[in-house]
Amino acid sequence: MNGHVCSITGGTVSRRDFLLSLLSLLAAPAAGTGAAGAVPTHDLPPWLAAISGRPEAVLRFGAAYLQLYPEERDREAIIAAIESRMADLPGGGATAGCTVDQLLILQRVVRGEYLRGEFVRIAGWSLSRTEARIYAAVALWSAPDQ
Amino acid sequence: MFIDARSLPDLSRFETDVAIIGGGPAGISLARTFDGASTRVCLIESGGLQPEARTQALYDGESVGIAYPVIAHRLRFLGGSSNHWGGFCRPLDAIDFEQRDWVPHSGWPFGRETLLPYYERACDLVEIAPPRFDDKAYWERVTGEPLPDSVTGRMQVRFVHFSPPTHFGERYGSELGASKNIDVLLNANVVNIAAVGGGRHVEHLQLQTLSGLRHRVSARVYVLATGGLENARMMLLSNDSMPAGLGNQHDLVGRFFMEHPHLSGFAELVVADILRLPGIYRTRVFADGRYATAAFNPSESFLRDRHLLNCTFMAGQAGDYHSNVAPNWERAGSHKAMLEAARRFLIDDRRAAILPPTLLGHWLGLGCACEQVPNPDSRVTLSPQRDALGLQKLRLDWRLTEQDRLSALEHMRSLVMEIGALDIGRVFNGGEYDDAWPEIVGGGSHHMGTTRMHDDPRQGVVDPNCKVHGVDNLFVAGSSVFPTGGASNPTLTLVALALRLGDHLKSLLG
Ligand SMILES: Cc1cc2nc3c(=O)[nH]c(=O)nc-3n(C[C@H](O)[C@H](O)[C@H](O)COP(=O)(O)OP(=O)(O)OC[C@H]3O[C@@H](n4cnc5c(N)ncnc54)[C@H](O)[C@@H]3O)c2cc1C
Repeated sequence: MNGHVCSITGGTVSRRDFLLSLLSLLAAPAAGTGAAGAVPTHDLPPWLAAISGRPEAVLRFGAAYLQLYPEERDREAIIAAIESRMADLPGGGATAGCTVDQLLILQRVVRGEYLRGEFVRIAGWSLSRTEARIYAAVALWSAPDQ
Repeated sequence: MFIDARSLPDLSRFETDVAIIGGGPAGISLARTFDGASTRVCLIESGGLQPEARTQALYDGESVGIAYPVIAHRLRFLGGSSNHWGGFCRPLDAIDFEQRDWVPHSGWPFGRETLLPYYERACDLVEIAPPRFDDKAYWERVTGEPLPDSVTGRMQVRFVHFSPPTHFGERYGSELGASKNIDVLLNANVVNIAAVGGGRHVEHLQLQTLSGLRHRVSARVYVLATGGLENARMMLLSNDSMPAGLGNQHDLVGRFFMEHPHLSGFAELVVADILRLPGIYRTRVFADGRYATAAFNPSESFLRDRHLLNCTFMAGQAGDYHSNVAPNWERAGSHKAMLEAARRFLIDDRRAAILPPTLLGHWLGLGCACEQVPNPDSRVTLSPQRDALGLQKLRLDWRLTEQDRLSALEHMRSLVMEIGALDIGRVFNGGEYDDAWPEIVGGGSHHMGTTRMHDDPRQGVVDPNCKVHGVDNLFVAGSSVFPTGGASNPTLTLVALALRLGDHLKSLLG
């Protein structure tokens, strides 16, 4: 499951690295969420377990998305879908090497989707498609291997 | 001078130049235009200076369409419903006056520019002058906060002023009482507008008190100003010379009842960084002696492109979330979860660093008031039930159409797009509107359209001067004359129209 070469960068970032940085971005302890929001680590792949403070909230919306779109219940495919949206942005491919750049690109992707009305309703929330997929990716990659 | 109709000898008769039926904002604004003139005015008011249960009960009626509390929405004493109005003021938009080919029966006989000078005077009466309804730069200056431009092109910022709120009876009552040429007849119910010549000329008004006295008022001209529902009822009741009701030769009186369908709390907004939604969108801002707030409105170009109806959205701050305080209701849990999940999109590190470490964010309620298409099947008729004066009660059948709902849905979508694209926050909306109007749809006590204005007597009850087609001396004041209702609260516009009617009557009466 690890080690795919990620297409979003000018250089090479492994898909695992990409996902790790993505998750760490989302999971960076938001104000006060820290341990209280942490996901139990026993069922996570070891590299995911290294990330602390992931909010359960992300998993909650991720799971809700996957329930609505079960056909996207594929770890690789969902990452590819996120990547391809990022690569669509001018400069998206070239600047995605570091986490801060990735965050900025993701923010632009999400903003652009809201702007175009590309959102889905997840548990009552109107979320940009990519934003919802990010939550779903976290949920998929946090789930025990099937 | 105030005169209590109950203290007069039975069968008293009054002669005057202008008889105004109803002492609400419309009637009082109109009467005031004659203060100090040589024209004699009699303002006839059903109630007294204070509310009274028996009089209020005369407003009882039936609602057979969308549930509508016809009695609670209105007050029947001097000042009318302004005794409990919210004071929200905004003129109609220019597009609201237009004949829009996607809005059946739309179009006023004149444009907004005709009303502009009267809007200015109306702002004085509701105590919000000088108004700054569309002046974004002004509000940015006084609040010190930049207001984001629409990124979707679908929306625009508009400003709503708040009247103190002016209670017209209290505020202008003593002025009317002191006037030499205006008599205010209190506790006097007009029960019939008696016409002759096959309903072409009003000869007198029949008045009745709840104590059983009957009086009569004769005038050169008569103005019906009893409110947007009651104006239609009065005309339907006045059927001694026209069986269908006065001015109802084309079966239009009472039809086209419009409200602003309100969806209060149709959605919730969570924001992590409150500064991303400037304060004037969340609270009332005080500047230059009056309060205002900002509203999201659809842009005119978007309405035209997509053939939509008008709409107004407002937000109100409801609460804060802290990570160390457990949510106390189910939705709060969802709000908190969204603030946690989307945090990276909603706040940057610099801002997060200076906020209390436990603060997750805030939630706001979103409400909207929408325009509905003029619909002949949405209407006021008479019920077989009778009130304490023996008059048939009102029956309201308020209806909304699929066009109204789909338009509102599209605007909700615009709001989500705008809020998301501006990184302001995330919107929760359970989707109750996807297939039908939700149960929470209600009115805003805005009663419009039942005596609509049109050049053509086959399409409207009153002409552009608010004179009833086919009746040479009867006029109507109030929101019942609105051919379309836009998405602005109606009182400022109906006061402006009453002032315009005052000018017209002055020139007519010489
Ligand atoms: C709770 C509430 C909040 C509101 N908030 C807002 C707001 O924020 N902004 C806004 O623009 N509008 C608001 N409105 C609507 C506003 O109150 C009306 O638009 C306004 O009062 C209408 O003025 P009017 O003079 O046409 O009618 P009314 O205010 O209804 O006055 C009619 C008068 O006629 C009298 N009358 C009735 N029948 C007879 C009769 N047969 N004989 C003699 N007299 C009679 C009544 O006693 C009354 O005094 C609100 C209304 C309510 C109920």
